[in-house]
Order: sequence, then C-alpha cells, then structure tokens
Amino acid sequence: MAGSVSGIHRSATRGSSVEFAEYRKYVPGDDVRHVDWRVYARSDRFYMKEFEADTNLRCHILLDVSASMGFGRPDGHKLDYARRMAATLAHLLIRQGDAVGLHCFSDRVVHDIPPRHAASHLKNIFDTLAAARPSGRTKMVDVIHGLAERIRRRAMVLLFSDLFTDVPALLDCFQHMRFRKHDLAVFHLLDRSEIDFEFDRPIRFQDMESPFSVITDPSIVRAGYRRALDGHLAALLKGCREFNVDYERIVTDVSYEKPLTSFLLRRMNGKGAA
Amino acid sequence: MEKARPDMVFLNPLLLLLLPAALLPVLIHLLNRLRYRTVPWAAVMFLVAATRSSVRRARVRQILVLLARMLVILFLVLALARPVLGGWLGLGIAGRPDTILVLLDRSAGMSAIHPHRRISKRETALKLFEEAGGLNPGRAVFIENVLCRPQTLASLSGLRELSLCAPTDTAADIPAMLDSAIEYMVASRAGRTEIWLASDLQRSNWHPDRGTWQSLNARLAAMPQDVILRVLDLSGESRHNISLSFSDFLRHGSAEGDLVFDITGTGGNPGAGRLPLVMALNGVRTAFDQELSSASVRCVRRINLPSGGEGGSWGRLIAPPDGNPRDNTLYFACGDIPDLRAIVLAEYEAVGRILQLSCAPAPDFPGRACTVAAPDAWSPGSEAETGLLVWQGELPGTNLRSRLSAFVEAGGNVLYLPPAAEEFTGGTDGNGSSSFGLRWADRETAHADSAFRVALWEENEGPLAGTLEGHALPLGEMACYRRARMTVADGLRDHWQTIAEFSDGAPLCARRLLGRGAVYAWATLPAPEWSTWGEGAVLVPMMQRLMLSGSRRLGNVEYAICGEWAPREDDTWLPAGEESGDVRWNAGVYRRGRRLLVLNRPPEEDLPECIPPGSIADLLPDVRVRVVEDLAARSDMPARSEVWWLVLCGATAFMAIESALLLQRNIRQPSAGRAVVRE
Repeated sequence: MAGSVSGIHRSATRGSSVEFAEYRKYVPGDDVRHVDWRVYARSDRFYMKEFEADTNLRCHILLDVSASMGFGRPDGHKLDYARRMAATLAHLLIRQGDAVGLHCFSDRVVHDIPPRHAASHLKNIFDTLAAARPSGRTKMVDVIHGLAERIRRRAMVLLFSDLFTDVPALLDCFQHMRFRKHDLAVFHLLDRSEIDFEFDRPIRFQDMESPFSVITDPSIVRAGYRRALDGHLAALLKGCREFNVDYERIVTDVSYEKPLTSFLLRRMNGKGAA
Repeated sequence: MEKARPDMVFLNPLLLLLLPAALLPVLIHLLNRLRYRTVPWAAVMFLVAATRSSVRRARVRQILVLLARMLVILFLVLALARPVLGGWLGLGIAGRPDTILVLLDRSAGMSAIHPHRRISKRETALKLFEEAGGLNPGRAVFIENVLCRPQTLASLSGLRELSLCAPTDTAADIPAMLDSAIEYMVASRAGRTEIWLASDLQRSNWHPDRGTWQSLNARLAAMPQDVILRVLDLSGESRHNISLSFSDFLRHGSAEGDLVFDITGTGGNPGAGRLPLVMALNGVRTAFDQELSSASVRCVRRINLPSGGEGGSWGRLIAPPDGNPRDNTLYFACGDIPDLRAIVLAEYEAVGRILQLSCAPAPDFPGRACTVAAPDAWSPGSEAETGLLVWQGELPGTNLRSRLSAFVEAGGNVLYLPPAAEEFTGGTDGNGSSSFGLRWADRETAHADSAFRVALWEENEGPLAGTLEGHALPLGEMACYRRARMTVADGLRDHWQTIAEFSDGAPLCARRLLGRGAVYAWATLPAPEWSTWGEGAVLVPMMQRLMLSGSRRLGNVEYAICGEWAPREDDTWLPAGEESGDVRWNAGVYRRGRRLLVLNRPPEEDLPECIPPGSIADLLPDVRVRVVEDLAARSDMPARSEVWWLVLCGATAFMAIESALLLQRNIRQPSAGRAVVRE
C-alpha cells in the first residue's frame, strides 16, 4: 500500500524497509542502487534486491445516501446500518494510522471528505455521517466511475449501498476501480422484507426515488419478484468474484458486528471475495 | 296434444332471485383491489420485472379462480331452485320417479273378483302396487277414496297390511282423488312424480261429465315437474254377480213394513231363475226365494216386525256368494214412527190451502199435520218438529236465512214457490245476497192455446221418482200457464241441480242438497191460473215424500249412504250387531243410544257401466296418461327429471377446480431469495 507516512500495513509494493523480500532479474530502467553487487560478483548477473515496505493505508468510504437507503424497519433503515459500519471502520483505520476519506453520494457526491489520518479527522467523518439523510435518486454508476478517476493513488474503497441498479453497468464500475488498482470491498445492504416479499393484500408500491408506483397483488407477482431478485443477486456475486471484489451481502436484521467481524477476519487472512 | 313446455323449469323459482350472488366473488375482488394500502418501496426494479414476466399468467389463473367461484355459487343457487330438465337431455338422465302417488279406489265395486285372478280387483291392485314399488324405490304417498288424505309411506311393500287399504262399501270420486294428489304435489313440491291410479273405471266413480276434469287437466299440465299418470285398468267384467241395493222401507202401522230393494244381475245368465235370499231380522234368519224376471228387478218384501223391540228392529238381506261379496248385503231398520208435519207459509191464501190439503188432508188425519200461515206472520222455532217447510212468496230475508239453513242441514226440506204478486223484488237484499243462492226472475205466461209442458224429470229418486209399482208420476200431463224463471248466484250454480225441466229447457224444479236435507225451488204455483199442479196427481205424492224424507231425522232411525255420511267428532256410533265395522266406510246398522243409523252402499256402485280406457286421455288431454294392466311394465314415456344432484355435482367440481388452482399457485411460490442470501 502506498503512502507518504509509514503505517502498520504491509505494502503490496516493494519498498525500502529492512525486511528482505526476494531477488529478481534486472530490467533496464531499474534503479541501479538496488542491484546486489555481491550476487553479481558471484554469478556475473544483475539481480535486484527487494524488501517488504511498511506503509500507511488510504481508505475511501463510498456511502450511498439515495432515498432507497431509507427503506427498512421503523427502528433502523439501511442507511443507519451503513452509517454504523462506516463509522466503526473509519474509527479502526484512523486509530491504526491510516487515512480515511468519506464520499456520500446519491445522483452526485453530496459530501466529499478527502482522506486524512489525523485523529481530529474522525470527528469530521462522524459529523458528516450523522448529518447524512436518505434522499435523491441513485446514479451510482456515474458517481463510482467519477470517483475511480478522481482517486489517483491506490486506495482501499469501501462501498455501502443496496445496489439497486443495473448489474452490468455496476460491474463496469467495479472493473474500473480494479483497473485503477483500488482495493474494492462492497457491502450490499438488504432489508428482510425486500427478500421475502411477504405481503398478502393488494398494495400500491411507491418508488422511494421517483413518483412512479405499481399497484399489484403481491400474491400474483411474488414469484416473479423473487426470481428477479435472485437473478440480480446471483449476477452481482458472480461479477464480484470475476473482478476480485470483496463482496459482503448483509441483511439488516442481523447485528452489524457480525458482518464486520467476518470482513475484518477475511482481510487479516488475505483478501478475497466472500 | 301436449303443450310445448320449456326444457328446463324450476320447482323453487323464487330462489333464482339469488342468482346475482354469483357476482359476489368479483365484487369482493374489486373491493379488495380498491382497498389497497400504499407502501414505500426501494426494490421497484424487481417489481417491474415481475409484473412483466408473471402477471399475465397469474392473471389468467386469477380469472379462472374467480370464474370457478362464480360458477360454484351459480350452481349452488340452481341446485337449491331444483331444476327439472326435459327434452333429450332429460331423457338421457331420467331415472326412477322421485315420488309415487298411489291412488287406490277401494269402493265396493273394487271388491269384485278379478276376471283373471282369484283375488279381488282391490287386492290385485295392491299386489301390483307392491311389485312395482319394489322396482321404484322412492317416496311413496298413498291416497284412498274415502278420506282422500295423502299419507306418506316408507315403502309400498307393506301396503296390503295397511288398514286404509281394507275393502269398503263406499263409492269413489276419482276427480276428488286426483285433486287431492295435485294439492299434495303443489304443497310438497315433489320432484318427478308418477301417479298410480288403480280403478275399475266405473263411470259413476269417474264422473266423466263433470266440469272439474278441465281444471284437473290444466293444473296437471301446468306442473313444473314431470307428472305421469298411470292408470291400472281393472275394468274387466267379473263372473256372474248379483247385487242387492236398498231402496226404501215403508212402515204399515207398528207391526208390518215393506222392504223395497233392487236386485241387479251382471255376467252369466242373471235374468233367469229364482234367487235364494236370507233375511236376518233382529238376529233371526229366514230363507226365501225371490223370483227374477229380468237382470234388474225391484222387489218388495213384506216384513212382520217383532213387537216390543227396545229401540226398534233392524236387519239385513243377504244374497248368496258370487262375483262380488261386497254387494250381497243390504241393511234396513225400523224404529219409532214420527208424525209427518209441514209448515206452509204462503202469501197467496188459495195456494196455502191447496198445499195444506196435499200435506194433511184433514186436521184430524192420523200421523199428518200441516200449519198454514203468511210468511211475514211466521215465527221461527216451530220448524224443529217439522219435516217440510213450504215458502211461497218473496224469498225470506237475511234474518231468517240462517234459521232455514240450520233446518235444512239438520235434515229438513224447504220448498220455495214463486210469489203470486206481479210486483216482487226477486229475493235479494240490499247486499245482493239471496237465499241459498236462489233468486226469482221475471215471470212468463204461456199462450192460451199452448201451455208449458214438462219434458224431463228425475224418475229414479227424489220427490218426483216413480211409484213402487214402477209407474211414473204424471208430470207430462201437467199443464203450466204461468211460471217464474229462477236464477242462481254465479258461485253456487254447481250446487243446484235441475230435477225437472220444461220442454223449452227452463227448469221447473231445482234442488240443492245441503247437509242432510235439501232445498227445492218450484217454478209454478198449484193455483188454477198458474198450472194444473194443484189437481194432486203430482202434488200430493211429491209433498208426502218431502214430508217423509224431511221427517226421518225426527224418528230414531236414520238412513244414509256409506261414505257420504260422516259422524260428528263427538258422536260414537257402534255396530248394532256383533260384526265389527267402521261407520266411515262399512255398510251396516250402527247404534248410538236409542238411535239407529243404517248405512248402505251407494246405489251407483251397482251400475256396471265403465268408461273406455281410451277416454281417460280425452279427459286429460295435456297430461301423460298411460293405461296399463301391469305397473311393473315400463313404457316409453318421455321424461322430465329433476337434476339438482347433477347441478350439485357441477358445483363440487368447480370447487375442486378452484382449490386446485389455489394449491398450484402456492406450490409454485419459490422460497424467497433466502438460499441466495445465505451464500
């Protein structure tokens, strides 16, 4: 992980720490200062000596604050859940000397806090999270593409969203992030009723992000709804595995500590999709 | 020709008003749709996808479910309305009749031995009913000719043990039995019905000339359910039969009396030889032979009455066993001799005098008495001991009518003669009502050279009957110069019967039977300027007979026709002899205190004339009539069948379809996205 300040994370790039990593052949353009002359003397070949580099982490938290994130139980909607997780992770990262930034977005980025590692920065993040309200339509694809371009240095990107958008376009965003060498972790938040769809009488379903509504008998559309949701989830999972995106699906009736612990343990043991 | 009837009719058509209830499922569905609630929803993109993919199929299923529910209600309502199906479809599903109405004629004539069986026609009918009943299990209702009251039977198998199937000495009234059957069908709303009628087709039982047949035909044809009338023809002539029928018993003082009776022979050679008879009087039997000169003879037998008999003497005349054991006995009795009394209420004094003389020739004439008064001077009460009341003049007013009606119903006779005055009201009061329905209309006077002549009169019974010697009363010689036309109120025309009429068809004498007595109306007066009726050849026997028949109730012996006489509820009549019998349908002599009741068979039961079997279809042209000799043999009758069970099956089938559609929908519901979520 690249950073201007040394941290406790082992960097993926070879750096200037004292811990030897490996030899590799010299290629033109390599800094001749890192040529191991002793090996040259013995083998008459140029080998580059590489070391593990310890560096600080730059983390960008992308929080979807569109109106759909306001859906959920009366005691807590999806955005509440995401806020708690984001705050916890920000706290953990800053405590260990990493820089954390926050980008709240709906159809555009509504709050944009660049990464800092100062402890005072945490309060700034907490205040922004507390002030976030679910509103506006989702234009996640455009926003993520934009952020992928804006974040120049490699970074860890944590995305909190319900991902109710077109899957191929979304996977394009993820691919874009990965192309920019960002370490992307996606927290997919769903409410239990969105999965079960247990309604009985005719209902007018009002879209939370537009005036559009659907009047239907749930008993009629339940099967189709569940089929469509299953297809969406399966496509997301498959795409995330393909692009090596760390994907965590969370149902909001589960305590947030559980998926958080699962995520952190996974990171400790090595990155990978769930 | 049978009238064309719709293929489907309903026994409970009023329930069809519930048919709109079939729309309830649609209404409930629409109400549910209108009562939707609004839910903010995030995952609308999946709803839209689901609506596109599955709504069409689900909607088709939902329409099918709604349709099934509507049809369930529709079919249930139709089943409750009890449809009856006709035409080819009805023929296809026709089965056994739902109800069998068994009409048994158990009149005296049905006790004749069946020509091809060794049992009576009545027993033959019962046997065939039982056999056919075994092939047609279903509701059976029994009606016999005496009580004419429908009785529901568990089955027809034990019909012969039923007391109501025992032989009787009554006559049958077939139209009345059919009327009772129709009333039962209307009241019970019976389904497909067969009427089984067993009869010997005796004309006197069928009354083919009676106007009620048209009404019966119309009512049966209008029945919504299929009605078939099967007539079991038992009209075959039985072997040689002699019947004895009572005509009269004439007292001659206290020691002697003449028993007048008729002997009628049918079959074999009835008109020849001597007939051995047995006379039983107060238990003492005497045998004698009676000469038979023809098939039908009237006989007079002088009887010496035993002296000192407490409550009178009674007896019976018995013929030897033959083709019908039921008509071999007649009963008679002789009791106290009442004085014959008459009251003549005449506004025309000369007429009153003539009438008085015809009733009681002299004031001291033994056993006869007649009181004459003006109608307006008469005070009711004196008629209690009177046999005849003659009313000449304006018909009595409302205040006297109930009194006269009670007098007639108790057994007295009333004779109305027209008013002599030129001006009269006719006999109606301000309300338009009249005495016994009778009203005097305008008066007619014959031309000087041609008087009104009597052409027809009842010679067999009543006051104008022939003499014992067989001579007719000389009504044909009677000349009538003036007469009053009589009219009868519309609703009472059937109650009045013309028993003598002029050559131009105008009635001379009309009679209305009421209770145990009768009301007569005579169109002329026994005055010389009116007619020669006053000369006496007709008047005297007529008045004497009216006095006699009206005074019978005053003695201790009463004669009546079996089946026509019914005891009052508080009367208990017991057989006078040792033989048992029911006063309602068994001929015999019955006693209640000092009073004797003599019941004999109806004389018309001895008339052998039958109607042709083919004429039944003419009597009931719009009804399916089949005359058969064996009820077990089914014919090719078109069918109209009750199909409520079929409609109920349809309702059940639609219920099953609805359940299957709902079950299918529930089975196809995927178990949410939980499996995917758990990954």
